[in-house]
Order: sequence, then C-alpha cells, then structure tokens
Amino acid sequence: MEEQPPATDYTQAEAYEPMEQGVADLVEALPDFPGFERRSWNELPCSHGGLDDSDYTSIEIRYTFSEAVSATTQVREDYLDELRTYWSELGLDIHRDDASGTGKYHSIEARREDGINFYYSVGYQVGLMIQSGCVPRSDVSELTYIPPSGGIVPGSEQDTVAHDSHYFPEGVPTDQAAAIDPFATAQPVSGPVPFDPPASYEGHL
Amino acid sequence: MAGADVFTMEPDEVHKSVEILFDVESEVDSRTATLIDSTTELAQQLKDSDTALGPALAEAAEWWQLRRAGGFTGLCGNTGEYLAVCAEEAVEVDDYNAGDFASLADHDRYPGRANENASSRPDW
Amino acid sequence: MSDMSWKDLRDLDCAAIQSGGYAWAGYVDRMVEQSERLRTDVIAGHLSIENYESDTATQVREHIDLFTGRFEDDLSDYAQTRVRTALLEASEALKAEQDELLELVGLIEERAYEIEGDKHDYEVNPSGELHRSIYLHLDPPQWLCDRVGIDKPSAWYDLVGEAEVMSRLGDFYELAKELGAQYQDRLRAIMSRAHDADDEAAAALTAMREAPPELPPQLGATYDDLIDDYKAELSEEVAAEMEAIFNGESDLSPEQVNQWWEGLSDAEREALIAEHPEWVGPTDGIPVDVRDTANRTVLDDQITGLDQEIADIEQQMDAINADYEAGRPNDSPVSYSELQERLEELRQDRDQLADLDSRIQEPHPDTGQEYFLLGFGTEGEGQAIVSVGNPDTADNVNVYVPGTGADLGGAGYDNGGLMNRIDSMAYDAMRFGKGEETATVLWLDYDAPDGVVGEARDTALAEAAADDLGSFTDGLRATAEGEPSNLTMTGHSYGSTTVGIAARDEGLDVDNMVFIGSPGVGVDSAEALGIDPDNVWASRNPDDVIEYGMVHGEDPTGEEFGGNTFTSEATREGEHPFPGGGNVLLGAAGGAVAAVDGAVANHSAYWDDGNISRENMAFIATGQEGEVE
Repeated sequence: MEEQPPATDYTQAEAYEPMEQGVADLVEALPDFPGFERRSWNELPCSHGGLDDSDYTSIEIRYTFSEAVSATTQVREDYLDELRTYWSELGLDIHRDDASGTGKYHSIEARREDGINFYYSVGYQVGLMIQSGCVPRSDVSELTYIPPSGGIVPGSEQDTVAHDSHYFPEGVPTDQAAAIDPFATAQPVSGPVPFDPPASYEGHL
Repeated sequence: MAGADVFTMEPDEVHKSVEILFDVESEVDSRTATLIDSTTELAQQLKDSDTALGPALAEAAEWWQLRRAGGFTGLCGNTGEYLAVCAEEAVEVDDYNAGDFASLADHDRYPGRANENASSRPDW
Repeated sequence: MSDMSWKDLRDLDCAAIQSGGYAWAGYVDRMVEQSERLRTDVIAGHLSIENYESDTATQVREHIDLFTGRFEDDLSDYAQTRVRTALLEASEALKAEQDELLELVGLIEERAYEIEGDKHDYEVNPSGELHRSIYLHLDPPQWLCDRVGIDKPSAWYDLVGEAEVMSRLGDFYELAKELGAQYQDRLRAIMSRAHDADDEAAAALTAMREAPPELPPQLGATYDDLIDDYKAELSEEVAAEMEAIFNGESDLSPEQVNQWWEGLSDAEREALIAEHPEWVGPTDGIPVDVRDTANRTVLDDQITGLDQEIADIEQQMDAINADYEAGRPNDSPVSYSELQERLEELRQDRDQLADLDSRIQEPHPDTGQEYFLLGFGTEGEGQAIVSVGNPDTADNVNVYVPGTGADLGGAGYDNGGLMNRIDSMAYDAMRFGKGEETATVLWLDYDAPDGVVGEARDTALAEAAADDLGSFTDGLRATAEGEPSNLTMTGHSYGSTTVGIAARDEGLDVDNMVFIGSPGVGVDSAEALGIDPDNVWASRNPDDVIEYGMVHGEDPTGEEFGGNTFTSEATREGEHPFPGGGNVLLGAAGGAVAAVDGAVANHSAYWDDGNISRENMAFIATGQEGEVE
C-alpha cells in the first residue's frame, strides 16, 4: 500500500469555491427557480487501510428545498429533465439516474472532470448535494466564507454555514466585500431567460 | 412527646380516623395474604421448571408480606390505638369535650387487638 | 442460576407468569386506594386540623403521612417496579423464546434430529432413524434428497435410485450435519436468551431484599430519638438507590429503572441531577433529556478538571526545568518524561472531550434537531453515545454501532467520521422520512477493535458489549413517549458482529437490523436473531474486502442466511480514499495494488456521497422498505 495519496485538484480550502460556483451556474440554468430553503456544509470521513484517515475529508454542500416546494412537480419531475439536458450539454458523466423501488423517489448524479459530483435527490424533501470526493483536510482557519446561491440570503438563518461555530467561530464577515464572492461577475436572473427557439430541432436532439 | 397543650377536638371525627386506620390495616393484610397465596403457587410451578425465578419469587413474596406490607399494617394498627388512647388522655385537659370522647374512645371498641394495652400507648 | 432444559421452556406456563404480574399490578392499585384513604379521609379529613388541633395531632398526622409515604414508595419500588415488572418482562421474554423453540423443535422432530447434551450447551444431531434411512436403507427423506438435489428412491426395489444415494453419501452426510448445526446454533441462542431472561428476573427480585430502607419508628417512648434518624435516612435513600442502579448492584432492568425514576418526586429528581449527574447521565431507563442534561454537566466538569490537571503538571514540569537551568537538584518524585507522557494523555482526553462538547452545541444544520448526549468516557479508546434528535419522542430511531477503529476521536470535529456518519444518516432520514422525525444515535459504548486484524477476528469484544447494547435498547423502549418507535439497529463491519451477538445472547428489542460490510454476525441464520427474518437486512458493496474476511459466521448477505439484502456501491477506487475516482490518478503498473487497496477503501464506502446504500438505509430506518433497491 502506498503511503502517499494520489494528487488531487483541490485542497479542502480550495474546493468550496468551485463547488459553490457549480451551484450558482446550475441555479441559473434551471427555469423559474423557486429558491432553496437552506444551505449547509458537511464533511464525510475518508479512509486509508480500512480506517478513517483524519488527514482527508470529503466535503458535501447541501441545498434543500422547503417541504412545500419539494411537493411540486417542478422540482420533482421537471427539473430532472432539465438537469439531464443541462449536464449532457456540459458533457458531464451522468453516472446515476434511477428511481427507488416503487418509483416514489428519484436520484440523478453527474460528475465533473475535476471530481466534483452533483447529486440531485428527489426524496420527501428535494435537495441538491455537491460533493468534493476526498481532499486533503485544511485547517479551519484557512476556510473562507462563500456566499450561498439559489435565493438564500448570506448570513441569514437559512444559511446555516454562517452560524456554524466550527467553520466560522468568529461569525462570517459582516463586510461582504471581505468575503470571496465567486459570483461577482455573474448576471442576476430576475426571471426566465429569454429563449429564441430554432426553426427546427432537427440535428439538435 | 407532645400532647399536653391541647386545643380543639371533634371526638367523633378523631374516632372515625381510628376506625379507618384499623380498616386499612385489615384490608391490606387480607389482600396481601390472597396475593401471596397465589404467588407462592406460581413460584412452586416455576421451581418445578428449574427456573431461577421460582425460588427468587417465593422469597420475594414472603419478604413482602412480612417485612413491607406487614410493616405498614403494623404501623397502621398501632397508630390507630395510639391515636385513640392519646386522644382519650387529651380530653382530661379539655373539659368541654371530655365526656363525649371518653365514651367513644373506650378500649372495648377494639377488642382482641394484640397490643391494645401495649406499645401504642402514650408513655407519659 | 437458570437451569431450565429445553423441555422445561417448552412446557413453561408463560401465561401464568403473566397473570402473576397482573395480579401484582392489580394489588398495587388496590393498595394505593388504601393509602389514598389515609391521606384523604384521615390526614386531610377526619383528622384534619379543623377537627383536631394540638401538638400531638400534628405529630400523628406527620407520622401517618410518613408511613403512608413509605408504603407508597414500597409499592412503587418493590411491588410495582420489581415484582410486577420482573414477572411481566420475564413472561414476555420467555414466551417469545418459547414460541421460537416450539417452531424449531417442530422442525427438529419432523426431520428426525435429536437434541442431546448439557442444557447450557445443547447439540442437535441426526437421529438414529435419520442415519438408518440414509446409510442402511438408502432411502433418505424427501427434504434431504431435495437439498442434495437427487430424486428420492421410489420404493425399496428402486435400485437405480438407491445407487445414486449410495454415490452421494458424502453429500447426504454433510448436508444433514450442516442443517443440524444450524438447528443447534438456533437452539443455543434461544436457550441462552431464555436463561438470561430468567436470571435477570430472579436477580431483580433477589436484589430487592438487600439493604431495604427502614420503616418509620413506632410512636412511643423513643419516637423523638428515632424519627430524626429515619428522616435523615429518607433523604439519603434516593441517592443510595441511584448509586446502586448506576453501579449495577440493584439488578433493575431499564424498564424498572424508568418506573423507579417516574415514582420519584420532582424535588428528588432535581436533587439527583444536581448532586449526582455522574450517576444519572449514563443510566439506561432514565429519560433521554434528563440524561443529556446530566451528561453535559459532567462533561463540563471533566473538561474543567482536566484543564486543572494539565495546569498542575505543566507547573511541575516548569519547576523541574527551572531547577535544571539553575543547576539545582530536583526532588520531584515523578520524572520529567513521565510527566510529559501523562500530559500528552491528558491533553488528548481534554481535546477529545472539548471536541465532543463543541460538536453537540448547535442543532443539526439541516434537520434542526438538537443533539442529545447519552454517555461518554475516555477510558481506553473512549466512548460516546450521541443522538441527533430525541429518541424518546421520535417516530423512528436508528442506532448506528460502528466497527473497527471507532474511538472517541471519531465523535468530534477533527476526526469526526462517526458523527459525520450519523449527521448524514439524520439528513437522509429527513429527506426520505415522510415528514416524520427520525432520531439517529451513535452508540460507541464498547471497545471496538483497533485494526482489521487481531482483535477484529475474535468475538470477545462483541460479546463483552452485548449486555450494554441490550440494556441501551431496552432503555430506549422504556423511556419512549407515546407509541413505540420504529427502532432500527445498524451495525457496520465489526459493529454488525456486535449487534448480531447482542441479539443472539441478550435479545435486542428492535424492529429492524441492518448489517453493513459485515464479517458475520455470530449466527448462521437470520432466524437466530430473535426478530422476523423479513426485518433483517444486509448489504456489501461488490468491492468490499470484507468478503474475504467472513470470520464470524455465515455471510449475512448470502441466500443461506435468510435475510434481505439491498444494493450498495463500491464508490472508491485506487489505493487511497477517493470516492468517485475523479481525483484518482492510477498508473497502469499500480493497477493490482490499487485493486486491493480499493477493496480495503470500499469497506468504508457505505456513507460516501451519493452511494445508494445511504438511501436504502434511510428507507429501512423510516419504514419504507418497499423503496429499497
């Protein structure tokens, strides 16, 4: 067994930004986005030789819709189709797209080349999870607050990361300019993006 | 022991308390005996099946009857007698109700009690 | 000690034991009516201050109140908590084992096996009749022919059929023996649980009579002297009972502990929590929110105490350094290196406890559930029992028992794999939970093996944990409010062995068992676990190295085991822990090593991001087995 882990694209501290950017891009691509209810950051263990290895961690960023929104066909059905199209057009590997035993729930996952995985889960509550895979653990002091996407107000109660005393014992920066905003250059989306349909879909499908 | 600087008293009411104490004593003794009989029978069945529960249950039942329920009924009875006698003596310092209580707190109302004239009596 | 034979258990009149329990329950109700008479009709009625006012009257009222209270406590502590509950628990447990025994004995007799040997170590072997049918008559029974896979000889003159039997005698022998071993395994498990239930009930009744509290003194000449002693003893009695329960000297079951706790006054309970949180916190049968309060107090105290100890040792080390630098002889009885070693131990304990403390302060970020601390310790590798959500009020409860390598450090932030797992399980249960609440519990109250070899190949650690896991489960049942929860016990790796052995030896009062990446669960069939095999689930991903380490019995994912299985994915590749593989750079030459290491890594992959096993576990824990894939 080799003692050194393989090279990775990111450290833990570096991974949050591209992951959150991925969410922002995805939200922009989904029509009539109703807004998430909550964002959180979690970590899962990585193991070496069958035992958990504290030098590594696997980040999971969770965005969850409210129960009311979770009950709509928009997020339970329409967005599954939207995501299939969106990820296919980006050339991502959709490595999972299946329903639960009775068809009540559905999961669809796609992975980028940099290892970041997107997991859209239609359960009782619908959510989007973005996962880093195992990355070298960073000291918490190196972690930077990244504002959320999808309608969650940075630092609000719904932005549970901002209130997590482990990640941000001093609270998140009140001066938003001090925080890294990966979406500073993104255009705001106030409604459905205008779309000019082609005369024919032949060759597009 | 207190008891000298008395007071007010309704002899009928105190007497009813005594009767309830004796009645509780009798009721608890009787129901306990019934319970222990059936429990002993169950314990024997369990002993015959080589359980550990059988002997333990038999000993527990006997202990309960003699030590705990029995202890309680002893206290009930003795307190009843104590109360009757104590109240009877108390009326000697209260002329107002002395005659009434003396007729009610007669020892003959509780014939056959083992410690009728023993430990439950006030000792002053 | 229980000495029941299987025939004793078969013939036992469990209904009579249950009736005995109900008789004591009815008796308690009638007795409480009598004590109520004394309180209502005497103290507050005929003998009230309106009817009788004097010093003597006051004393008599107090006296009646005292011995009535004593009787009520006795009824609660002994007649109710001990005798009634012991009988009802024993009848329920013994009836469950008796039912399973009757089913098993039916099979044993039908298939011509016989039960032999000592009643604590039965053997089940093919009977002479079965032997003769195979070896002498070459005419084995139909069921055995089916197992071997040949047609049963049609008659005594079916020489072709008999010749085939003759040619397969070795198979007949092996399969008959194998089935006997399964029966034996199951019979021993049944009798072990029955003996345990019997012994526990007996122990509870025996312990009842040891050092009971005194009764109040009789009114009389020495009353004034004796009553003060009695009152002092009364206030110490509750604390003494709590201590005996904590030390395991009371032999009360968690259900009985719960009844005892509920029988205390509010003031008594508050005094215990304030004065003896170290006894209240770890005790099964005390409500979860109370245990949490007590344990958090003890955790704070221990962290403060460790800080003080660390400061003391640092001071001693500074003094030694100062002497050394000044060229003075040092008279410290402990060497510098010993102090340093001790300091490191204390710092590790302190950091781990502080980490645990920090971890349970904020509610779960996604589910909003509070954390409940049900136990912790630093002995050995450390212990932690933590719940996301309150199991006493939740609709579903999922208890996760971790395996190899689990330690207190895993319950904190820095190496928080275990807590992260239950956080994820709680999140998954919310996502799929039908709007119901699921409490997810980390149960690390045993000494888990340090590595995948050595201790992990021995069942000793699992056996040592069985009693505590059984007690914890019974405690959850005892303190649950309202309808019983849907209770799932999930064991990973060696944790599954721990769960299986606890079920086998102690019986686990759960609705579902889930075994993940299991090296065997200590029994060879789901039926020996004491719950419906339809509620036993197992999963192993296709690249989990544990497949080659099935050292603790039949593979629970195998068909022979008789439980259900669900899908898990091997999400990790290569020699290191990278789920998804996108970050893994594998050289062609490293392929073989990577495959082996991937199999090792995949042993821990069940909670990886996006692994379908997470959803399947959530479906089982939330009572949606129909969704399982």
